[in-house]
Amino acid sequence: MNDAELARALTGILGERRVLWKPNQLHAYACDGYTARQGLPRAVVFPETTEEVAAVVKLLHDHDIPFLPRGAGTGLSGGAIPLHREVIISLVRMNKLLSVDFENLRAVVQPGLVNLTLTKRITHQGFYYAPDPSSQSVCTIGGNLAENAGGSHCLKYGVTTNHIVAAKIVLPDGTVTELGTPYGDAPGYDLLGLVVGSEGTLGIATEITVRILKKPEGVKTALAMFDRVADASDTVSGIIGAGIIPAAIEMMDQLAMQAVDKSNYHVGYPTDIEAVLLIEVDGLAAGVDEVMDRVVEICRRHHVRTVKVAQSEAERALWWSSRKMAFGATGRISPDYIVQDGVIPRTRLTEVLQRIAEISRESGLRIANVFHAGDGNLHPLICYDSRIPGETEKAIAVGSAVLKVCADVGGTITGEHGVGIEKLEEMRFMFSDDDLAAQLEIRSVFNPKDLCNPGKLIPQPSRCAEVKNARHIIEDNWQIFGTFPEHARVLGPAHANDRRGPSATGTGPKDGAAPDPELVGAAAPASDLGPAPAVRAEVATGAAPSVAGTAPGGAAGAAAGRDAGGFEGDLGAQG
Amino acid sequence: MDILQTRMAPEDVAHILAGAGALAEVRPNPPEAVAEGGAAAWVEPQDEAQVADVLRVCAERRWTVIPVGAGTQLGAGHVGPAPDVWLSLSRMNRLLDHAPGDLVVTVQPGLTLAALQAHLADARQMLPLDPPVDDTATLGGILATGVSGPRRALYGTLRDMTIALRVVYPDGRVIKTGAKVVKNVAGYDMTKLFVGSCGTLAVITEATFKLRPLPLHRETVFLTGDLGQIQALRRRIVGSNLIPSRLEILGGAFRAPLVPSPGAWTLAVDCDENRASAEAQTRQLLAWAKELSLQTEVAAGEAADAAWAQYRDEIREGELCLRFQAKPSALAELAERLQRFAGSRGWVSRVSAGAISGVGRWSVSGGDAPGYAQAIREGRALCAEQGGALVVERAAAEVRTLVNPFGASPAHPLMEQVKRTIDPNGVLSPGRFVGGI
Repeated sequence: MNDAELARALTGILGERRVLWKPNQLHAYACDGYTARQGLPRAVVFPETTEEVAAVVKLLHDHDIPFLPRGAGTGLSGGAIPLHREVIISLVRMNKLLSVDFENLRAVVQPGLVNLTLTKRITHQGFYYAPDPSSQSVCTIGGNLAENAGGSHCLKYGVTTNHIVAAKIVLPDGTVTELGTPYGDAPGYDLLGLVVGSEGTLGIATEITVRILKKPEGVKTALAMFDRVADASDTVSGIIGAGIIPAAIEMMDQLAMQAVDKSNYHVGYPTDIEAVLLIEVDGLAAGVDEVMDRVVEICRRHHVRTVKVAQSEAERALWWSSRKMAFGATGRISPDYIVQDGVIPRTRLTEVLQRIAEISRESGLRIANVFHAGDGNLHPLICYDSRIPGETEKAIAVGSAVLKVCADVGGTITGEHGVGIEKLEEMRFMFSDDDLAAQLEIRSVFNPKDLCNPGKLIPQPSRCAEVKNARHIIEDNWQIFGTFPEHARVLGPAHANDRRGPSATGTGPKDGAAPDPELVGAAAPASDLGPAPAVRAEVATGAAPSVAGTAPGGAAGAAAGRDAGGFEGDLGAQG
Repeated sequence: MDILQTRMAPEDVAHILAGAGALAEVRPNPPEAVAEGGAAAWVEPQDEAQVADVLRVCAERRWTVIPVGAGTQLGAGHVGPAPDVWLSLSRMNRLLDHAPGDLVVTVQPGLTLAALQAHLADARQMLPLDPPVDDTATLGGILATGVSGPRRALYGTLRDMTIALRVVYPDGRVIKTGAKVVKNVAGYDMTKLFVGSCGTLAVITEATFKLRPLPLHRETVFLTGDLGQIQALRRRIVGSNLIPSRLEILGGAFRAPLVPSPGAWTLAVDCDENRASAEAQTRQLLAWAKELSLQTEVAAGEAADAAWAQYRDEIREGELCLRFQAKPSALAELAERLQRFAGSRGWVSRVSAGAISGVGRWSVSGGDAPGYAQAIREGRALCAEQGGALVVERAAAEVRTLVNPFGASPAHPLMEQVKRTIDPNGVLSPGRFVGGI
C-alpha cells in the first residue's frame, strides 16, 4: 500500500478532515516531550470512537503498517516518536468524560481526556482523580495509562496503575476487548496490569474506568530549608520512621532553587542552603495539625534552618508552582538539559546524591536535583550546551551514568517517565537477557506482528549494535564512568567507526519501508541516526503539542516539534 | 502422545527429583480438596536453584507440578487429576530483607503472613493486607490466590503492594520482575501477571512488598440496625470526608460485637488515622447513628484488633466460602438476598460486604454439596443482575466438580495465549484456573 492508497483508505474510515498525511502537516508529530530524536509519521489520524480506532488499527494490521497511539505528546522518553514511519493514532478528539458514579467512586473516560479536566469536572462534589503528573494540565489519561504516570502525591495515593480498574482496549490486530473489572478482582490473569505502563505497545485504550477519591478534608503544607542535604534526607526518613505517610515530600537542591527563583514563581530561597523540602500532609481536619506539628518537630530535630507552614492557599499554591515549574525553569540557567528519572531506596539518598555530585564534577556538567524524596524518585536535570561540540553526547552519557548508580543501589532507571526510546539501553542495567526475553514474549502475545509502537520499551536481546553503543558511551566518557569503574566494564573490542547515539537502535519497520529521505530531511536538524540538540528550554510560553480538543490540521500540534512541550514553562513533565 | 504415556511410579519420580538435590519423598495422599486422590512425589526445595532444577526435570519429562505453601487455600480453583509432583515451598521461609526506612520487605514464599506481620510489628510497620486465612498460610499461597480482606477499602490489594518478584518459569529460567523500590515503570509490569495466577505460570521464589506504618491509633465503630438504615449510613460515609480503612456490612451468624443480635445488620467502620482524627470520625459516626436510630459500639486499640481477628476466624468457620463482587451501592442488597437464601435452608451463614471495595464474602456451613452448588449458581445469577461476579474461594472438591468455581465464561483468549507462552507443555497446575487454564 503506497502513501496515497493509505491516505485514501484512512480517509475512507475517518473522512478527510481527520487524516493528516501531507508532509507539511506531519512535522508537529516528529517527537514528543523527548526531543533528542525525531522522525516523521506516515500519517496522523484522529478517530473519535472505539469503532474508528479499531477500524484504523485493523486496516494497518492487515497491511503490515506500523502505528502508535499518542495523547498530548508530553511523554519524556520518546514513546510517541515515530521512528519507523508509523501512522500516529492521536486520541485527542476522544476527550469525553463518559460517566461518573460518585456513590461508587468510579468515572469512565475516553483516553484523550486531560488529567486535570477530570478533577475539574468532579470537584463540585468534592471528588478528584489522584495521579497528578506535573503535566496534568495538558497530559491525557490515555497517555497516563500508557506510561503508568506518577506525580507528586503518589507516595500516599499510588500511581496510575493503582487507579485504573478497567479499560476497553483495541488490540494490535483491531479486535476490541475489555480488561479488568470496575469493582473487585477480574478473574484470571491481570492483563490490565500488564497493559498499564506498556507505553502503547500492547494495544490502545479507548475507554478507561478510574477510581475517584474524595478530596481530603484537611491539608497542611510546609517548606523546610536545610543547610545540608544529609539533614534533609534524614528528615524524610525520620518522618516515614515516625509512622507518617505524607501526601507528598518533594526536595530541590540549590541549583534547582536558583532556577525556579528565576521563573515567574519566585519564592526567594536563600542562596546558601543545600536543600529545600516541600512537605504536605492531609487527612481529616481534626488530625492534620497534629501531624504537621510532628513533621515540624522532626525537621527541627534534623537541624532545619527554617521551616514554615503555609498560612494560605495562595502561599501553598506558590510553593507548589515553584516546585512543579522546576523542569521548565532549568532553561533559565542552562541552554539545554536532560531530565532523568531514576528511583532509589530512599535511605540511600545522601549517598546517591554524593555520587551524582561526583559525576557532575568529573564531567564538568552541572546537575540540578529535583525529586519526589518520599518515594526516592530522583529527577536530576543535566545542564549542557548543545552548541559545544560533543557536549550533547556527554550529557547523555552523564544521564546514563546517573541511572547506573540508581540501578546499582537497588533502584530503577525510571520511576514515572518510561523507557520509550530514551532508556532502552539502560534497561540492561536492571534486567538480564532472560528477563528481557520474558517481556518480549509477553509483547508477542498481544502484539505478534510488532506493529504497535515497535522498538519501544524493551531492547532486543543482546543486539551487537547496542552492545557497541554502550561500549562507545563508556569509552568516550571514561572520565565519568571512571568514578565507578567496577560497573563500567564492557567486554570486547571497540568499533571506532560506529558513532551512533545510545538510542539509535530501533528495530526496522516490519513492512520493510525505509524512511522516505525527503520526509526525513524535512525534519532537520534531527535525524534518525543521532541525538538532536535538546529542546531550547527558554521556549516557555508556547501551547502544548496537540492539546486535547483542538482541531487537526489547525492548531493541533502546531507548537509541537522543536518547540515541544513548553507549557507554562514546564516541559510536559510527568514528574 | 504424551497423554498416552504411562504414569511413572511416585517412588521413581521422587527418586529422580532427589537427584536434583531437593528433599523428595512420596506422600500417600495429596493435600485435602485439591485434586483427585493418589500418591504423588512431594518435593521440598531449599532454594531457588533447586526449584529451577526440579522444574527443569519435570518439564523434560512432562510431569505435572502443583506448587504449594501451607495448603490452606487449595479449596479454590478447578479440581483436576493428581499432579506428578507437589512442589512445596515450605522450606523457603525466610524473611530476606526488611528495610524499615524504605518501607519495603523481601521474603521467600514459604514465610507465613502471620510471621511477617509479627516481625514488621516490631518495627511498627505492616503489610496492609488482612485476608481471612489462618496463621499457617504462606505469602506464596496468598500471592498465588491474590486473596484480600476488608482493609482493601483503603490500602488496595496485593496487586498494589507487590513491587518485585523472582519467579521460576517451567523451563527453569529464573525471571526477575519489577524493582525493590516503591515506584518503577521500567519495562512491562510483569509482577502483576503472577499475582493471583494460581500457580499456573511460574513458581514464585521471592517477593518484595511495599509496607505501611502501623496505624498510630486503632478505632472501630460498629453501627447496627436494619438494612435500610445501614444503606443510608453507607451513603453518608461514602459522600463524606471520613477515611474508613475498613467499611464492611456484616450480617448473619457473626457474634458480638460484629453482629450483636440475630437478624441485625452492622456497618463496621475502621479508622487508621491518628487519634485526633479517629476520635473525630467516631464522633461523626455516633452523631449520624443517633439521627438514624442505630445501635453503636466502639472498640479501640487491642479491642479493635481483636474484633477483626474474630471476624477472620468466623469467616473461616464456613465449609464454603464465596467471594462476590458488584458495585458497592448494590452490595448490601446482594448480601441480604444471599443471607435469606441460606436462612431458608437452615444453614449457618455469615455475609460480609465491602461497602467501598464492592467485594464481599459469603461463608456458610450446614449444607451438602448439591445445595452448595445451587447456592453458587443462584448467587452468581444475583451478582450477574448487578453486573458482578461470584467466585469460589473455598469449597470441597465435590462442590467444585458440580459447579464451575470461577463462572461459566471462558478464559480470555489472551490469557490462554499467555499460559501457552510461559508454560507451553502445561506443566504447572494444569486445569486449575479460570476457564481450565
